Amino acid sequence: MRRVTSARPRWQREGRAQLRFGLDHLLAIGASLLFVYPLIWLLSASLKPAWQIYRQPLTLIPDGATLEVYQRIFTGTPFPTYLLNSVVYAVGGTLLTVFVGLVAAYGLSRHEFRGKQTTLLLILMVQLMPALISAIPVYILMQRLDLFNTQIGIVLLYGAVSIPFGVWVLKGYLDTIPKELDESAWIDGAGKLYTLWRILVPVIVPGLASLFIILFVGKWNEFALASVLLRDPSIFPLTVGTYMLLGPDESDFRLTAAASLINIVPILLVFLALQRFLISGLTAGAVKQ
Amino acid sequence: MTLQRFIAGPWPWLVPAIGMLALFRAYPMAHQAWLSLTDMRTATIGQARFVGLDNYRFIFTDASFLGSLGFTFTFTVGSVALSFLVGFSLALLLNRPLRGRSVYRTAILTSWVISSLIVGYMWQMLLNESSAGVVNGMLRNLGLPAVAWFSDPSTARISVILVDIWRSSAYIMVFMLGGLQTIPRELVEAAMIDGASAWQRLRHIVLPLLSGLITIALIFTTIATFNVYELIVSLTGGGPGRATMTVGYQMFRTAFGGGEAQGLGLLGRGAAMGMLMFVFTLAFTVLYLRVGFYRRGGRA
Repeated sequence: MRRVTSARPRWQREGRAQLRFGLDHLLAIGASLLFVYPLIWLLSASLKPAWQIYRQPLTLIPDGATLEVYQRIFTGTPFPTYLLNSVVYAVGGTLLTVFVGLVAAYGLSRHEFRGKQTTLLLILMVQLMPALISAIPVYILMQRLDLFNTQIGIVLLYGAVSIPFGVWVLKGYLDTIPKELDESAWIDGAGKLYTLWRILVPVIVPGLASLFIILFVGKWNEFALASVLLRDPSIFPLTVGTYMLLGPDESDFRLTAAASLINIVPILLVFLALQRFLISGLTAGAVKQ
Repeated sequence: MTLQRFIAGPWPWLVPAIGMLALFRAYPMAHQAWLSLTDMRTATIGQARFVGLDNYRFIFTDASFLGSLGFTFTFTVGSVALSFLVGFSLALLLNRPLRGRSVYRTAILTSWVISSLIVGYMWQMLLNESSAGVVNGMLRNLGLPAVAWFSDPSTARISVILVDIWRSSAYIMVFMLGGLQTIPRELVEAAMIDGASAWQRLRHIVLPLLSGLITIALIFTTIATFNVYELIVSLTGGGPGRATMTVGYQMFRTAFGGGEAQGLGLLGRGAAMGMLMFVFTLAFTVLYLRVGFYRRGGRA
């Protein structure tokens, strides 16, 4: 609360404050609706019987909701497989980044050495380069490595591309832990790997959680590289499978809405479950001193 | 350096990360520079001919590519400026002592977890020009004329920018909210006691304190926006005509736009477009390093 005295009479101050307060809420509700309404509308469109899509006036509440289109997607297309593949790519890629990134972050956080600044600088430069810029050379590389059109290729690539971000964020968290903690573990005879795993990792669990969700969202949603590197529908992730189902402009609203929601709902649940960790991570690397 | 010292040092910890980055990030970036000087197609991987700057000469004289480049710049400037304005306004709003503001924040942030591809499909339906399009339906209810969101070239360009603002302002909001919360309350209150108006407090206290963070947010957003691809795929497919094609979209179409399995994908020419995106991004990366890295004495 603000404690500012002003020359205005008390009743007028409070009136203004209340008006201001109401206005803030009104704006915030309006803004929230702008971001949430499209999702509610998607749900509505996916549940409507076909004849209601074009019926005027358009209504949000379906007249007799039906799951028919979901049934069509889950039994008539490989969507269950796509869903599973997306889980594999997102979890696999994220864990790979977190492990490799954690080890590297330890090396950078706990050692002073010549070339450290240069290494950090290079990592930062790679971090800012979106991976899709190199889609063409990556396509050739994957063919040469025999990783083209393979699940392991996607996991390796997804794991690799976000290592700079992972290193950066985790180094930031490790730097906040005093080195005395490591040293006390060494005195007890613990090795460095043991120290990292059993002493440091438990301290940075919130940081790991925030990194996990940011990476998971990115990998779950990736389309550009997967669409170029995979040929075989049985290993498509949801995004590519959705594009294959809908094409550039699908005119069946119910199908498009349902397929979109199937993409959104799992990631939304992960987001809602872990979002309290998220906020600090999104600004890490920029705000961290 | 003896082996023992090497093992005790930092490098064994860095080897996995550096190895993977070298293979999957650094090597492809370098390879792209070479590819852009060849006539490689998907059928001739590994046996391409060196053609000098032909690919660059082609794309910089190709009206269709130059059109994409022009729209990409318009799109970037428009989307970044307005996303920042919207995102920062939302951050200012949610920085006020508002009950339930974490609920509002969550609601707004949902747009951040949705993939660009799906955002494109979603808004293609919402802005649809058929009678099922809900936005035009709302306009009609208000007695306003329906808008040709996608069939008119200039309107389609604006539509793409608007949808991208919807997609990217939540991230900017969270980013700036983090910055706003570092500003000591007393500072703002002192200015209020001195009679500074809300605008003056913003202009003379908040903005100067956050200038570094604002620059960083703008650079991050600019890089992501300039390299847009996925949103275009599902929202407009580059149309109507070529009105909303971007450099990223052209790159993917040139290399993989159908027929690449038959060997017709023009990898060399696509790589030249990739190099253009690379150079643009690199310029902004250098800018970022100047404001974000060196200013803090090289510490993250």
